[in-house]
Amino acid sequence: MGLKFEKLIKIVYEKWKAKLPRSREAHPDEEDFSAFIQNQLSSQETARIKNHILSCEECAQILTVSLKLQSAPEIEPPAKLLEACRDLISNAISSQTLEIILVVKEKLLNLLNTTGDVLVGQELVPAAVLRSRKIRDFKDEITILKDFGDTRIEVKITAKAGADFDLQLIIKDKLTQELKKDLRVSLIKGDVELESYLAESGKVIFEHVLLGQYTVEISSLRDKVACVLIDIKV
Amino acid sequence: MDDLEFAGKCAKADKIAWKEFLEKYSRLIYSYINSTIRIKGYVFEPSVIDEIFNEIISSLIQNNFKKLKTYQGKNKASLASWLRQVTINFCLDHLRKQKTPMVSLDAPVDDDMSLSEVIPYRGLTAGEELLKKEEVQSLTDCIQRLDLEDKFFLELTLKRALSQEELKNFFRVSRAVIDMRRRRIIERLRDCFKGKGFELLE
Repeated sequence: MGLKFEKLIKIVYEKWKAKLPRSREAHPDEEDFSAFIQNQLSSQETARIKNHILSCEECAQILTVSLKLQSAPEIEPPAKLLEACRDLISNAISSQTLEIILVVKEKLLNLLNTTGDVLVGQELVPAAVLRSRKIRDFKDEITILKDFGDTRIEVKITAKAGADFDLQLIIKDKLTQELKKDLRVSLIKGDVELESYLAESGKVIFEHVLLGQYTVEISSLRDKVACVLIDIKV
Repeated sequence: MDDLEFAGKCAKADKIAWKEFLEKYSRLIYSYINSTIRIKGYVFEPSVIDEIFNEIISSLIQNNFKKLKTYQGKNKASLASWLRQVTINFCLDHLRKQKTPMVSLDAPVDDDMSLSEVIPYRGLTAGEELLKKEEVQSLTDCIQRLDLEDKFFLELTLKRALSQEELKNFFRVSRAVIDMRRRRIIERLRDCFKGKGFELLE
């Protein structure tokens, strides 16, 4: 086969490609790309991605690099970088969750830790300040607040006569203090969703909650708004 | 616990799951950042690599883990292969935003082989120029007539200059099959070109 003919094919192919209109289709996402490279897509999907790559320079470059990097030599990230990442993740988790750890002690609620502000009288006090003031015990009930973006979540835990609790959540707009409606509030233990309500009035009460670890998720139709992690133990 | 379940735990802000995430995947992400940067011909200070690593982790956790939640384990894609793809895409995006133009991996059009060198020069008369254009147009038609598989093969071999080894791994066939496929496509184009009344260049 003539070498010159092959060269001509290459030049003409380049010219033809340059004139092709750019794909207007959405780029394949990372999962599709990954499955495409691993030959795990249906023939129809495979053809769609091949067609897209032929008319999308960005995706063609992604594919080229991906195929050239089927295996990368392993490089250990510096310990300092990992430490900074741990802090980054920890801060992000703290900003997206309200953690409450309580111990029940002779009808008193002893606050071990929280990432929210505790209502003491009319004052909102961070957990660290409470510790320095040596305030740990609360009689019958405790109210803790935390802001998640423009949403303020107020959690009120009330000890009942038995070893159970009522858990009330009030959801407000941080600025206007108006109750936020139509958010879904779910009480989860382990992987089991125990109860779930649409907070039509901006408030939800879970009654007779037993000791243990719970997650309360507050979500809109589109996304999770806030997450409350509660651990109540004796 | 499968990958989807594990990613779900991370997306629910589970601290223990995130500790495990860093232990399991930080090396993979860091390695692919280094390799992508290197293969695109860039040399960065380690601090820039660290910055990209931080940005990738941030992109996974910001907006309530929005990016991480896009991992659905579709088509049996493992979390590792998804993260690998996320890393490569992120690095290429990062490089596109650099002021210095990207060094292209893709095979450039041969500078030393112009069209007039490939198609025998026949003088500059209007008629000959027209004939040259017709030759190019005919071959363009022949390329257009190739099916998707053949066009995609040409893309990877001619435009992207993937090695035989890389092609072999991607198509999951032997080198001999890759060679045969290449020859067949060229034969098809040659037959088409000849069928349009043009001579073959040797």
